Amino acid sequence: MNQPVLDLRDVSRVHGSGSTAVHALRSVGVQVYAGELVAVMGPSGSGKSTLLTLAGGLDRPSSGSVLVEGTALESLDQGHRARMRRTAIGYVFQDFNLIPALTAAENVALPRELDGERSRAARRAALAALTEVGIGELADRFPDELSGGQQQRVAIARAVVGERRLILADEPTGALDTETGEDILGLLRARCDAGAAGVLVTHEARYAAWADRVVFLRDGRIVDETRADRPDSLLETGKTR
Amino acid sequence: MAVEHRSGLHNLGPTRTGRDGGGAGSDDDGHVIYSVTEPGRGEVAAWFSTPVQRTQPPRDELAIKLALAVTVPGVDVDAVIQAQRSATMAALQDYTRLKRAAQAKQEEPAGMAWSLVLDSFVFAAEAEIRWLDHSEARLRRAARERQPSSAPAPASVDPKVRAR
Repeated sequence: MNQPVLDLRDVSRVHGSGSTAVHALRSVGVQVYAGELVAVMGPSGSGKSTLLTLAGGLDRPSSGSVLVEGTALESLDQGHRARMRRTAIGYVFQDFNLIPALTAAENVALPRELDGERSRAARRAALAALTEVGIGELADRFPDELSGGQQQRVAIARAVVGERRLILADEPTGALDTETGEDILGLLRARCDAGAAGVLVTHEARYAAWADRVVFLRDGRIVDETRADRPDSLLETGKTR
Repeated sequence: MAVEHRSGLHNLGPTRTGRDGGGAGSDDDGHVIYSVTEPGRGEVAAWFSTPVQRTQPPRDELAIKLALAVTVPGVDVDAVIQAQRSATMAALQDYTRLKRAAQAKQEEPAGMAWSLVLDSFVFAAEAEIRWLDHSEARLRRAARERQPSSAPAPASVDPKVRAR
């Protein structure tokens, strides 16, 4: 099989030391390949958001290694890591994290402009990304003129603009109703089907079910992982799972 | 001779074709064709307008298994819960794939009916996983409360450094 887009190798993260040390992650190994959406589930305190933070290079592991497209993030200096985050990794957050003073298109174009791209080209790419997520006609609206679902679509456009290959989503449906949440999962799923690698952190089983694999975390450890069979014969009479 | 069923359906023999306004009695291949009688229409209407009764809950093997697991010594309850959660999640993934595949046919009544049935499976599987999560949390809390008070309480951890 090809090289994984995201490869967490024996990753641990400890906050503090001595008697107050908190082991957020313990020797976790996860590989996510192009075209794959992996869901991470677990209760509060299980380490799922820590995993996402490390995968995105926003934090460093206490031990182990995090590789994105073969590059160990911990081997990069701060500047190169920031560039990697802008060009290779897209984030989608529960609370959207859009800049209120910028329009939808400007929010999406910002990472590309920060990377030195000319404004006109960055806007063109932003409009294409917004069109891909179904809200091209809302490009010039400000976040407070958009519904929650539309804001999350803008956030997804920002995460995928520039053909980034790794999408990290932290409870992206948390602020949305069920139907809008399913639309958002449909967009993430489509992006992964088109070749991106996705990691979805969620505590809601109905959204995790959109993933190819579901990883269960408890107390910082992976306790189980599920991969569904093809559903063709699922409902045959007498079939048991 | 026509046989009347409890549902109010008539099996129309060939001799009754055209009588009672019930349509043809059989097709060219000899398949029997049923027609709804007037009393049957009334029963169907009553059936649709009456809520499904929730009398005695059906036997729930999972609830029984978990209830036994927490009372029988030596059973790893966490493992029982996780094994079921993984199995139910795998089923939920399958239902979700089937639902996505069915979305293209939702404009047809049969396609919409199938999609709603799949929704029912999704909600049932989701509810089961939520119940397992809830049971696990309750068991963990109970275990913590049984521990001696000298053990460090989670509340003493700085919330800024606690894993989410």
